[in-house]
Amino acid sequence: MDELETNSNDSVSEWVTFHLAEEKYGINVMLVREVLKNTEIAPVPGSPRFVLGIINLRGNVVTVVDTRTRFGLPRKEEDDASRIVVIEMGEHVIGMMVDSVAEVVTLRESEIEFAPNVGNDESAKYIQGVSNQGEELLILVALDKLFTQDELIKGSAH
Amino acid sequence: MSQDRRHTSLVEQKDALSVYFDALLREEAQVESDWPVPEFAEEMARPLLVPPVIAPVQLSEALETIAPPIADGPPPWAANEFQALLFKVGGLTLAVPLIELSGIQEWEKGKVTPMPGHISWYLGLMQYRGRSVPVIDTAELVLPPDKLQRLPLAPAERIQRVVFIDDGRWGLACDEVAEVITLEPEQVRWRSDRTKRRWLAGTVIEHMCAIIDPPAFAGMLANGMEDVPLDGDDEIDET
Repeated sequence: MDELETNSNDSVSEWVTFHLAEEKYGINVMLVREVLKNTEIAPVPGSPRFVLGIINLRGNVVTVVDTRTRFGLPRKEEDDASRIVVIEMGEHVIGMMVDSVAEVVTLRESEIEFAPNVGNDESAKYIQGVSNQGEELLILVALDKLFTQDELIKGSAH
Repeated sequence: MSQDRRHTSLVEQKDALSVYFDALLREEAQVESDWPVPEFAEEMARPLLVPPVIAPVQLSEALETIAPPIADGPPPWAANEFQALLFKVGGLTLAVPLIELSGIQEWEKGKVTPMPGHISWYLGLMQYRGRSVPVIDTAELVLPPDKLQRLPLAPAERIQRVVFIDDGRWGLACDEVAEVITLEPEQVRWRSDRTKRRWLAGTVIEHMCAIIDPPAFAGMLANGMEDVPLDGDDEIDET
């Protein structure tokens, strides 16, 4: 922590980390509104493939997306560890279903590595960077790239 | 009796090898034009003295703009005698010039972090010299799809080593690393047309191997995969 204070040029940010399959991901804490457990999701017929359904969050309808599907991973049945991370992006509020939520980590800017782009891979755009956390690599997700304006509208429309 | 059997066995082994290479080369040369035909296969099959006849290549407009052909002949690192490391991917032997080789590491499960939503040949990031380096399934990039499908093992079981190129910026996953060979530029059949498969610098019949041009390979990985069908990525883009 001393190092954090001594190096003023090295700004810090906080990340809510969650698991999907074997990997650990992080989203900026500033965008996370809350984390929900055991919430009933009402399916929405005709919604995009990555939309699991909607939930009632204190009277507001929030769309829940399957983060695994969005990341190209196989779907998984929800279990006790499953959580919905409710994020707020501008006027849009979205729930992201994840395998489990881990912790909040503080990262210095110098600890965040740019994720190299590979080929013409469009999907790489939503990876903001990576951070080496000892034995594992934390993948930082750029939420604004993950959910395009189009998807936000499509998702919210239901 | 036993001598006869041994003799038969040796002939069979020898035949098996030539049959194997024949099959490898013939099949790859017959691949339809919508898949990049490995030119080195055709070139290796031809007598050395006959100048290669390069079939007209259909290039997309995009390719013409983003991928100018690389100058013909030996790359700068092959001006004189040079050494190259042989490594194998899916039954194909590739050679990387030592001067362009950054290092080799063992492939260990759990050491490569897959990145979400990427196409299958991008295996993930591996820590190398203190940074996260993308590792590529070389077999999937260089082998035609029919051959790739017939590989007996999935990447995680097949891959044993990662060969790093471009100052450690890219890792090429391979089945195994073999020996280092010394080559004279004249031993190599340098490619005369580098508009397609720009990573392929030439072939060495003596060692039945294809020499990769690491800077071209790295450039292709970073800037665009003119040779790689991206059909498999459709699902990812579907939103």
